[in-house]
Amino acid sequence: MQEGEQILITAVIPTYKREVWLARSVNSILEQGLSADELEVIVVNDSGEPLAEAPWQSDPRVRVLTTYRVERCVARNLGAALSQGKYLHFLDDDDYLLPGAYSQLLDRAEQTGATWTYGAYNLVDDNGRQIGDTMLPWVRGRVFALALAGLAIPGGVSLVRRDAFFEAGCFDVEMLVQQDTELLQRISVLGATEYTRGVVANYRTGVTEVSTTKWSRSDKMGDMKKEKAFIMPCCVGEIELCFAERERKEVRGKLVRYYLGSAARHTKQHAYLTALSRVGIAIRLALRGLLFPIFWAGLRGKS
Amino acid sequence: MQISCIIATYKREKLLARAVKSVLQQEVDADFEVIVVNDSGEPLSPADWQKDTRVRVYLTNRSERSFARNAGLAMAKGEYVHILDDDDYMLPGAYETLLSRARETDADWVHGYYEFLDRDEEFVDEVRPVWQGRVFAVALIECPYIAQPSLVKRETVMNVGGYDPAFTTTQDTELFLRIAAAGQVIVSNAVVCKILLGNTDASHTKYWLRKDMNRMLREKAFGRRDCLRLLLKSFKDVSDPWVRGRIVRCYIGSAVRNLRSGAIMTSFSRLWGMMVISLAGVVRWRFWRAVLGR
Repeated sequence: MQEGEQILITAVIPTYKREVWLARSVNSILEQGLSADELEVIVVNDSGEPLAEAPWQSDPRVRVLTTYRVERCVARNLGAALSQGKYLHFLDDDDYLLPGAYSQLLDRAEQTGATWTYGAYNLVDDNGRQIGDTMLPWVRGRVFALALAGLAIPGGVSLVRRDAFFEAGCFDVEMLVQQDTELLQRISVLGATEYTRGVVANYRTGVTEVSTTKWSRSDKMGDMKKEKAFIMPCCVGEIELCFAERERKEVRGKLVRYYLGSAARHTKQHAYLTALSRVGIAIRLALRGLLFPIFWAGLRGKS
Repeated sequence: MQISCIIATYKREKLLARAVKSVLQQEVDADFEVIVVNDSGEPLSPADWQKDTRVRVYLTNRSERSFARNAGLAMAKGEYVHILDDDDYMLPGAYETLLSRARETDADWVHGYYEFLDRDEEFVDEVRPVWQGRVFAVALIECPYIAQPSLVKRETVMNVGGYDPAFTTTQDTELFLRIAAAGQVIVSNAVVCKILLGNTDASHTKYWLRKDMNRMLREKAFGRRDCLRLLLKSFKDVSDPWVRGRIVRCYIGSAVRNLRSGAIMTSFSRLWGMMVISLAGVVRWRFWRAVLGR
């Protein structure tokens, strides 16, 4: 792979001992109709053991790397570091793209220059049957405040600009779950988010026991993700910027609740000064919402 | 596999060849591998060291050194990792010395002595760091050339999260500070490598950022929930009042910076840290000299 003619998309798929699903996932990318000049697929095999031979491995667009039981984020960062593409696409090994996904996402991303472009997706069970409604996208522009308030956009339905990904500092390896949302938090500060309404991927859901994901840690991670945002120097400014673009009183209320929650946690850990500064920011944010019932609903967690 | 050596390189192939060969020529009773991460975005020209089966070369596309090294770390197989710069090189017997010391003590991090060379490869100085045990306090104030003469357990490096990409210089100090917080350090009494100094124009390192990065590094460390506890624990192993004084100085600097940027609460918490640290030092002359920056 040489510089010059730039590759458009690098798909990064970390995998751990799920080769049946993996083949489906890789093939769904190879069948998107992009040539070897436009697409590369980096499979990071984290099991430390060689993969069984499969037809997709002989495709010139595919590259397999082996790591030895590192966290998923480390594997993804590795794929990104070795990538050449203008956009990065992080797919999990048990999820797969639908036909035409890349062309829709690429069109939108190239048109708007957004740092993060995403589409709709379905949740499916092990037999590929759809569970529930299609998850439709609904936000664009500056989304930091929403990302902090819990907006979850999976990496598998998103194209992320490579330069922004590195500027934001890659996936945070401390995050054992919710890595995508935490990354969105940091990337949303660097530019706009865009969406396309087409359904781009099927997400397999339900079975967690074969996964290397540490679900048991997920409650701690939620708090950690918030703290990581709170200590960003631009945090309050960026929240106000988002609300200046589009005011959402219920989100404002939710953020005030998060700030107060953080204050309570810090008080418990005897970090009184940090707790005080969180309360200060909570009050500052609350001032513009006090008169609206929907703000109070958000604050109480009933929105 | 016992040792994985990771060398990130950027357009310095002649020096790189020397660095790689200095590792390949190590005589040690252990398996090792060399992972060269070429961050120049262009392929390396062919050389004989690339034919060695212990060497793997990867191309990253100008993604900064920390990313490149993290990529190397992710693919490392060894029990210990060794991070070398492309312009420095190991002395014969280095791996043997470091590895036997590491096995003997089961430390998370073993480091040795090193020599500085100037631009013309003339000897400048030999550095003999003596600190061992819990060295968080020392690592916080200064040890700029720290990765090259060290072997670290891969598990420890991965547990602390590898390099922080926010640091474009002093990333070694920052990583090893976190390693020092997580584990035990042992010193090995032999010169293990030579480090090239002053070749800043040919380097990919952003030296002009060093001062900012050093500050950022301290802010990150002071921001840790367990920072004070680590420092106090560390002073049991490192009892030098001078180190104590330097840290107090850092705390004061941080308090002033935070006050200026409006983070009043953080500033207060730094002053609190300063008071806790200085308690045991006030009667020592060396402590005050360090506080005053002499």
